[in-house]
Amino acid sequence: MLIEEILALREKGYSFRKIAIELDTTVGKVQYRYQKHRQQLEENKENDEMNFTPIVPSSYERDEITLLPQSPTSIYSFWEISSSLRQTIEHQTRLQWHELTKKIRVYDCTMVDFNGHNAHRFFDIHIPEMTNNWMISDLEPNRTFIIDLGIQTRQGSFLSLLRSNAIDTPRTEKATQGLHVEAVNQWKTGNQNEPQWLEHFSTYSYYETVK
Amino acid sequence: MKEGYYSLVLHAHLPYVRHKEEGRLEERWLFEAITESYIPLLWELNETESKDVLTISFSPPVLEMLADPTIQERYLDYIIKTEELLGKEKKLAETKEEKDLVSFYINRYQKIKNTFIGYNKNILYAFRELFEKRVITCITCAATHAFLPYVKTKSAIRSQVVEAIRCFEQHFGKKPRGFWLPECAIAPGIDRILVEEGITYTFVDEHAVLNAEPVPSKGSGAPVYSPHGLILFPRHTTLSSKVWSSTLGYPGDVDYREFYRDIAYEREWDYIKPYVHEDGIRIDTGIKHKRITGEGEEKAIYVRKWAEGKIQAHADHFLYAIENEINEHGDQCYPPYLMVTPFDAELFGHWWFEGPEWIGQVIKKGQNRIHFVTPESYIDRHYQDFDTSHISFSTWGREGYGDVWINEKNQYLYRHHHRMETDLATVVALFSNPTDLEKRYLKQMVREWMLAVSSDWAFIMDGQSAVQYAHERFATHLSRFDVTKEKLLSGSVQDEWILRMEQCYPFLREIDEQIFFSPHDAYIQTKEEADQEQKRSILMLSWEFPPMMVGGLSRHVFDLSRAMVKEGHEVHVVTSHVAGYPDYEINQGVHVHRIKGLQPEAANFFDWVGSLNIEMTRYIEKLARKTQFDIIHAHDWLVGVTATAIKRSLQLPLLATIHATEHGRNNGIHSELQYEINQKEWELTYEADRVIVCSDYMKEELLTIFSMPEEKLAVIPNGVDIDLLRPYTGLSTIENNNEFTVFSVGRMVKEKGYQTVIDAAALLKERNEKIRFVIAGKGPMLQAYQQQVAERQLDSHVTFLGFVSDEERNEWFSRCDATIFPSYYEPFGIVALEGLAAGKATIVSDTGGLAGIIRHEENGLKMIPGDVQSLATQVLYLYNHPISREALATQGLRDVKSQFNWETIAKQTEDEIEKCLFGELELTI
Repeated sequence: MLIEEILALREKGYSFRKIAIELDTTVGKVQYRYQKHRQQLEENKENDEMNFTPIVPSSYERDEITLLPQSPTSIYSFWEISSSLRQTIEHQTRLQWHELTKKIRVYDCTMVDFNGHNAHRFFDIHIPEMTNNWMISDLEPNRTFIIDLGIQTRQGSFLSLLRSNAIDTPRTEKATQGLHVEAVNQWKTGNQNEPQWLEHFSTYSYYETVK
Repeated sequence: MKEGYYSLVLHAHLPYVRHKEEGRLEERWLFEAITESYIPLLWELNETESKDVLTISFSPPVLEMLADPTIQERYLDYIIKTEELLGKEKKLAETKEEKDLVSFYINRYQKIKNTFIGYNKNILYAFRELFEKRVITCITCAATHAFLPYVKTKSAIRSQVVEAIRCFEQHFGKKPRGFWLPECAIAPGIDRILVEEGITYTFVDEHAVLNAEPVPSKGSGAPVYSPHGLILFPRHTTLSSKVWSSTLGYPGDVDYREFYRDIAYEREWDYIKPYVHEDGIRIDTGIKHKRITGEGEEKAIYVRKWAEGKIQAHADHFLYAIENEINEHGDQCYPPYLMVTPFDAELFGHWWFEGPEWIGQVIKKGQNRIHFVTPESYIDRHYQDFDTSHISFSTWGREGYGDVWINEKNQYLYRHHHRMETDLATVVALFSNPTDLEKRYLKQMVREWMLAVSSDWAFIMDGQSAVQYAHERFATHLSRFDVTKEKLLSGSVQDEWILRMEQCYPFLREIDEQIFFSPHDAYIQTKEEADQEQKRSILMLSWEFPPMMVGGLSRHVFDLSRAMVKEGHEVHVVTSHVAGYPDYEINQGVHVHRIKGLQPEAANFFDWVGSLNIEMTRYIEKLARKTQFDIIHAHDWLVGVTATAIKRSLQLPLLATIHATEHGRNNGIHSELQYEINQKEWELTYEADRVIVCSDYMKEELLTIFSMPEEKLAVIPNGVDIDLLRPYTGLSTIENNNEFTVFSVGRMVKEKGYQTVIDAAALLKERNEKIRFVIAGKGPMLQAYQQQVAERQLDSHVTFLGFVSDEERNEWFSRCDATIFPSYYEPFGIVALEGLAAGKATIVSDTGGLAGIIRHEENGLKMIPGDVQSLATQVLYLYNHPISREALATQGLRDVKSQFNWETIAKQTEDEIEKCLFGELELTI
């Protein structure tokens, strides 16, 4: 007894009793089969509701740039720029976003309390249009890096839009530089509240600018 | 006497592959691990009488799946089905070797089934028993095996740690002391969180310790403390490679079972169909008939006896290698030399079929030859003897760093991982007092985040097989996270809906979502809600605010903001950062926020302003998460970009006050910078709903320069706070003689007209008049003026003081006989008001706002701008007519008090705000 047959007869307005006669079976069996089918439909519907088509957005309306260490000589950066910030920059520069030259500026901030101007050295990487991430390579191991995403102004200067977190490139060989030796000794004395080396995680709070 | 200790560590982990629907391919990963690794390992461990032979880390996904009744039933089905297949194999077997092999498998599966049922289908009981008997030590790892150095926030790392510990405790009855770092991935700071959560030790790759700073005295021969006190056990590379090296490792021996020759690929389709995947895909059955044989494609049959022989030989070889290491390094003390070899548990049995038996033999044969130790026992004995060192980022993966988990194939993941983390912090802050139902939504979001960030997905994407599954699983959990978030935020929470979500992936029943609630947000939530009686919440933007005083703008905004607070408004002033002053303070009721741009020392002023505006905008958008503003009140072009951006993003009306124009200051636009500034001024007046200027003069200027509609403009004069002008009552710091003194204060720029004063002084000196000018203020022209005074020998008649304190300035106002403001251009002239308020006769240029304040010979005197003769005439008039001088001063003071007081101005400003909010029409009704 196929459910399709039952459905076809129901469609024609047959009662369960008539269908049973037509298909040479009992009313109970027809009803059971029919109910089962209805249940199945319900279940499928439920499943469908929970079965979202997975969506991985290509970008977010946020302003943020992040660095992650990949190797002693490379760090990975990715960023989001909101349309609001793009507009702000267009307003400031009186140029269309696509007309602006985008760059990342890579600062070596090893053991520096970086203020935007006091890096040991920096270099720029030209970023093509429609790019939201970059693998920065050929770096020196055991250094601290911060990057800014910025644009080139009409006057040729670099205007920073976003600043990243700081990240250390890992050490590769026996630590001959001894950058952290004093910091570890200081920390062991227990007289400091915070260590002098970089700890790689941010504290994020939603109301961060509300005091 | 040489001494050394050996510690074997296994890490059991698989991603959470439990699906609601039956028969998913990936579920087999777990079944194979149970069949080939976990149960055979149990057999070996149950054989031994010794203690401390092994440390096993169980990841929470493995714990949750092994304890899951649905999984247990499905596993039993899997075993029964395999037994059925073996029954068919028996009939198929022809040679003696084949028959022996099939009966080996039949016996083995019988034993597996018995073991499984013997432990009530939950083999965790078996491991717990061994743990309690101290044969083994059990620990755990991050909740979903997240690659911790690529997790963004402390809270998220903490969540991975805390939930794992909780899960472990549920299954083992106590907290773990050790913690396996997924992929042995460590970075500075992770140690801190682990220690805070009560963890004592973990494992790192050898190079992490070899490259530590300071260099550990025992190299990798002993563990070290991380700076925060986590004990790090380095992996022993030489010994480990005996097992995992693909070329030289034991598993590659010719007599061991060949991993890639499963009968699934060798039998007829109709024969094998019921035992592989429903959808008609040939997948491993676990029954493999061949041995590795050699390099060629042709493989010979697997012979158990030969394999068993090799197990013995390789166990001996390994023990010999350990003894060799002790020979070489065993002089080390204290602590004594330690060798730790951590491996993936599934390597033994699943990949290397004979691996568990090899472990059994190493333990058995090793009992009388070497010292086994667990990290815990070793710590208990030697914790005082470890060095402390800084460890940099490292892993046990390819190249030793992050190459496997961040490359072109998987780098896209982290953008989403991090976004989910910040979303979690956001929703727990927004729902700081959740209902029970809302709480389940929050917990579900944490669960989906966890399942999305398993390092497995990145690892699989890096490799060749199941790549599609990894992408799908990641996308699935990301979407489920987002849908749950949307439902929660939109307020459509439903018991049935969230229940179905929970049932899809029943991972970790208990979750503490509050870990994501930052202490700062918690603090903000405890603060009382803003006083409801306040009328309007005003966001005032001004690049200068005390203590930063470049021109009169700073004082104006200071006075206005205080006056608005007095009128009952909430006022937030967002201004630029000043070194040594707080980023946020409440100054006389005014909330002051001081912002630093990303480039606070930008060489170009226009860039500096841009940098400031970008940061101000970002700051205010976040500030608005808690503070509801009613209106923006922007002062001058320097904050125009922010004002416009905020107007758009927060949908707020904008009121602008234009204090001066670039056109007016320079008598036209002559340079590129001036052009840019002029543009910014125009944009601000264009974007503003209403514009306030301080004088009719300025109104005319805006109407002309920017062609503004007149009805958008309002004139509100500047005010003066008479209290602030009270002279210093203590000891006088300035000279005190009876000379007739004319005082002025202003910025030393050309348009303020002090050149006229110098020239007039020369004239008066010629005429031998005993009149002296004292001028306070700094600016670019100061040096030139001072030099001129010296060169022309006018010291007796003019003094340029440069910068003076407010107290000193007030003293001069009090001490002088008259004041003078000789500007060429002056939109308003607040300093003239201060002269009036000080009760002194005041001379002003007949220009700009000044011209509107002073009525000649009624409340002061006027001079022709830039006219030396005119200036001298007016000064001499005051000098020679003391009674008129007094009368002018008295009237001036009266006018200031009535027209230019801040209460009046605040009320007028209030009217303009209301007009912005409701439009003109409603008000005129």
